[in-house]
Amino acid sequence: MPLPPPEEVKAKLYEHSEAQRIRSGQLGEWFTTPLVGGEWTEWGKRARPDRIGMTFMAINRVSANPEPTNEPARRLMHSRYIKTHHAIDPEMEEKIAPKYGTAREMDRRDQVWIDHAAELAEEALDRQIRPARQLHWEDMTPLPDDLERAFDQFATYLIQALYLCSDASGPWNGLIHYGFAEIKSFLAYELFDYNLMCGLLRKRVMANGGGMGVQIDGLDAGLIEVCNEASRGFVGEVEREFSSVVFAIDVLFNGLLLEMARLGSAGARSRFDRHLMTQLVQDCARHVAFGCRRISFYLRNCPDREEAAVKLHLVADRLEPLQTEHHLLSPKVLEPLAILLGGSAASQGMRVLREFWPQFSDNYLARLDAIGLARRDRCLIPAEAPF
Amino acid sequence: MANPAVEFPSAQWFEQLAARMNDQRAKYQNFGFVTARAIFKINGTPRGDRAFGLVFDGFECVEVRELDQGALASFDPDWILEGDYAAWKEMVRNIKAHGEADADHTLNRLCLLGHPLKVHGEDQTRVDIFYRQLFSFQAFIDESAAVETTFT
Repeated sequence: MPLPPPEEVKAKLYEHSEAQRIRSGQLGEWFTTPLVGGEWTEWGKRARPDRIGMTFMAINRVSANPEPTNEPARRLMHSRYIKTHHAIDPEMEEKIAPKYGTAREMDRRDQVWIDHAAELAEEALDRQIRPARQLHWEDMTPLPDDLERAFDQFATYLIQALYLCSDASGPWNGLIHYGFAEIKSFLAYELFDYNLMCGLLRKRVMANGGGMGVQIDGLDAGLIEVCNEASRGFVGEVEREFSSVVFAIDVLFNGLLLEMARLGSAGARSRFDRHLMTQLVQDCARHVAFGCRRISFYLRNCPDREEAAVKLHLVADRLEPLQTEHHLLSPKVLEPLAILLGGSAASQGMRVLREFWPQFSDNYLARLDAIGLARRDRCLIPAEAPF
Repeated sequence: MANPAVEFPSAQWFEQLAARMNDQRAKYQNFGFVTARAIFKINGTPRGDRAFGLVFDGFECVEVRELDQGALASFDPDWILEGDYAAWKEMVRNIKAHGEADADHTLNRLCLLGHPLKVHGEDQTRVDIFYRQLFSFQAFIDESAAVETTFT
């Protein structure tokens, strides 16, 4: 259909009822509706900072709806915070905010929520680093070439791994309803963590006499495939499996990254590098905490716990051997770590890695025990180092 | 005037660390808030195995008390940091000598292989709080650099 001429469009907008109202100097319904009993949601709230500051916990304390309910979300902005307009009927609501392709896709607690969501979101924000300002870049210590090369390769691997997490998790946030504000915030902070750390590591690599190292082919080791299957390419009016992604990225992959970061922190030869790696330890541990709480909540509240557990076990069955082969055993990961841990003596560092190895599966399995997804009898990450 | 020397391990020693933490709110705000119930367990001291329960909340350590061996579970710790007296003593001395733990004496390094220190607990998702808030716990233990410490 041809567009109307510009003059016609301008004339129509000039005569629009809202334009006429603005010209008359009247304020709209948002200002005239009664503060109590009308369209206005709530009034008279006076949240006070808690022991940490003005947190989500502090505002939830005075909110009429401190936690999201399981009522279907009829509109994007209809949440535990904001009333729906009485004059908008369900048919109109569906047109305003269709279920699929919007933040209404995931609007049930079992799909999204976690215990103590507010606290974890605040922790994520509180423990973020500001690399350009907080770190003392002038204190960076020059390292012997072999140690610098090892650190740079380890950092290159981490950057690749963190971007992978960011890319896999990112698109999901737009599908989570605004009623789950703490979760949306946490996931945004998680993306921020990944990208902050990638930028920080790259700055570090480029600032101490070395440079970016060697890419690791196939590092995703099944992750991308699992995430694509779970999202169904974000196409179509279908249920998507957010829990599979959370399990893969937050519980399993971040769990492995946490152990790698602990090793990296232990092997860091300078105070500056240790600081970076400790930040990564904290970040990964927090992402793991989110993943564990999410899966735990999901299993306790989903319609069919048994079916949900079977699906998650199948994801783990696929990923554990691939992650072991292409990630944990990658020489581009292990060898630089061994050099760092051994202080240039790779063989000594390899002995440390061999002794550490059982923790990859031990800690992961202990978390799964805690969240009700025990798989000690079928875990495919070797309990002992295969080298 | 410097504080009188206190013995390690003792509730007074941990109380001095707590007092230093609580006096430096801005420093601990930079790390982020802490929420943890922790046990520091020192095995094989001349007075036997000793354990101290500490509660961290916000930017403070709000409780320190010595625990009987039978009271560890009822303290309901998120994590227990445990090791032999000799390892603890070496760590405290190292922190005193350097003003903070050096590369070989950080909590993470000492716990990495489960020896000489080990961090553990009943529920791994609660043990992970140790890693989530590691900067704060390392800074807390590094406060011992300013504490005049004697050893039994």
